[in-house]
Amino acid sequence: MNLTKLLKPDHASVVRAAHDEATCAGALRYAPRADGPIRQSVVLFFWVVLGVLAAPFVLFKRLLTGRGL
Amino acid sequence: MTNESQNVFEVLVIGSGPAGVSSAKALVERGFRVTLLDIGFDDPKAREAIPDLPFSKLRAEDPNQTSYFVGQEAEGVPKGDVKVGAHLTPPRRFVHHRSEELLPSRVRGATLMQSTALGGLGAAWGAGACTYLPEELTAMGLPIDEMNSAYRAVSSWIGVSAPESGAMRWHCGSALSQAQPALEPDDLARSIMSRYDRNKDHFSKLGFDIGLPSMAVLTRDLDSRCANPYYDMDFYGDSRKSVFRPRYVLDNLKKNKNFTYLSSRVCLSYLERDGVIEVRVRNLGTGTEEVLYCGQLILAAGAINSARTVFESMSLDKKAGFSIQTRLLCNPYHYLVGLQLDSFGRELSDRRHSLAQLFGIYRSAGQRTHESAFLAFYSYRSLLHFKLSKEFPFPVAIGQKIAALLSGGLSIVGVHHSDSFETAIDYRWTKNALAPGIIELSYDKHAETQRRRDQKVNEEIHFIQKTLRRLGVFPLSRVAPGPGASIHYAGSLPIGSWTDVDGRVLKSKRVYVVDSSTWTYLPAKGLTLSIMANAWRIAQKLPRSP
Repeated sequence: MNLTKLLKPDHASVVRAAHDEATCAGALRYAPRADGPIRQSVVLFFWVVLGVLAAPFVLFKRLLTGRGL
Repeated sequence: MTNESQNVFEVLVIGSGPAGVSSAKALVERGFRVTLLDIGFDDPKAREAIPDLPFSKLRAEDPNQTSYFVGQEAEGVPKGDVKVGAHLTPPRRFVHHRSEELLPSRVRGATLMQSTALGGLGAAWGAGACTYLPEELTAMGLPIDEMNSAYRAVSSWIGVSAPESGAMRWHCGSALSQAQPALEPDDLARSIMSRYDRNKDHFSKLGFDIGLPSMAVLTRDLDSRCANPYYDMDFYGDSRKSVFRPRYVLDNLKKNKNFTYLSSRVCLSYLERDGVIEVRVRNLGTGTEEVLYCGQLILAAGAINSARTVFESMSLDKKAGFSIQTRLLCNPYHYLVGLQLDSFGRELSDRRHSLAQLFGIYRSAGQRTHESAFLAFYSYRSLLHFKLSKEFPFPVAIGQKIAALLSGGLSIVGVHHSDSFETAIDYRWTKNALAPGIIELSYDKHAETQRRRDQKVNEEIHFIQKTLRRLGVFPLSRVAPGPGASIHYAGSLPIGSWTDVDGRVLKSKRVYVVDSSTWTYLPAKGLTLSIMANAWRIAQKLPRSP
């Protein structure tokens, strides 16, 4: 069992997202340049903290998929 | 002996890829009357639909961007794991259109791509233009002086940009004489280079060097082609013809009275008798078989299909149950996705190109020069975020937000490893009572061979990952698309066994193979410029028909 593969989004929703993104409005919605450098750093910090908290779960998943620590 | 109305030609070239157009150009310049035949699928409408504007401007303003970024039928959203051809955007999908139907093969344990396009695989070439070093050419069975001379000739008309000096000039461009200035690196590449320059001697001692790439991309205008506009659209269109494509040569050749182009045809086999070669082709337009006659035949259909044609021709007088075994060299390939933290909190310049920003070479202690691993650094900021978000184990909306955050700082490092016959893909051509002429390509190595190969590759990847961290790129994942995925093929008709050093098929008098089929080794560096130089070299020596 590979949890990462199981949790990946289905093809239909990726296609919808791709069409949504490839529009002028989508460009604004998803462009990293729309975010200022400070906000980028704050959001990155958030994800780093979340990553640290999530680490034990990731290790558990590796054990579950037989990949070892 | 040309009489085109009777299907009689002086020289017939099969394939319009880098090898085909190089040999055709050289022969036309020598005064031969040349006919080039290929399948020749193209998609000029998709190409022309892309406005000549920067990526960011198109994203913000073009109401038709879906057609080329995603495709009208979402063909730019691949299903499942992408094994081969991940870089083919919707406007480049024609490169392998109907290839499974027209160039069939049974593949096991590997993923391969064949081209049916005008320009062959060169229509989607990433434009890395490396020359091989003498030790590499020796391992490949090619003559050093003739190849160096051919590199200079070919690079002068395709237009190669390269660094003036440094390690990468030595490794990848030492045989170039008139290179244009190198492409400007983007901000991420500059950051990697500055970290490398600070400890250059240390990295070099470990066998690791990086530098600006040598590319078949113009940085100055050349003939009717223009310098790269740094629009970050190089994976979608051929803006200003800055990146070399074989069809440009074909367009020029069509203006020459000594040149004829026949498209929509697949070469099936040839038969040499009484100084004339009968070539059997299938006309895709009429669905019928035709017989063409020529004085000399040049096979430039790529390592899989040139061998197919030779084997099919050898079997014409054989009964069912005939089988031929050979091998297909193909660089083992991985790519490492890394995050460059330097990019956070920085405004990144919009002025950039989409191709390889940097090249790198890694040679571990005890390895010989031709066994080095080769690295190409990409930034891929013109990648739409759905391509990344589909890989994350999150709902798409969350995945796209993460992708938007990370994509500005992503570096993708493609790592190619050298390949020898010991670890090559097995290639078997079989004719039996049920189905004549089947190609079977399989990768199923002896456990010990597999272990040795994996060990070498893993050691190289491990060192490269460690070194990337020192260069500020933190590897997030390592992707191994499997054997065949590099799309660099060679060695199916090796010199000594099937061909001589000048490409002549040993069991023939006037049939020549000018692509990478004849090579006896495949170094890790990109092969396309060498394919062109080798084809040019052989065409320069082609004897006149009696």
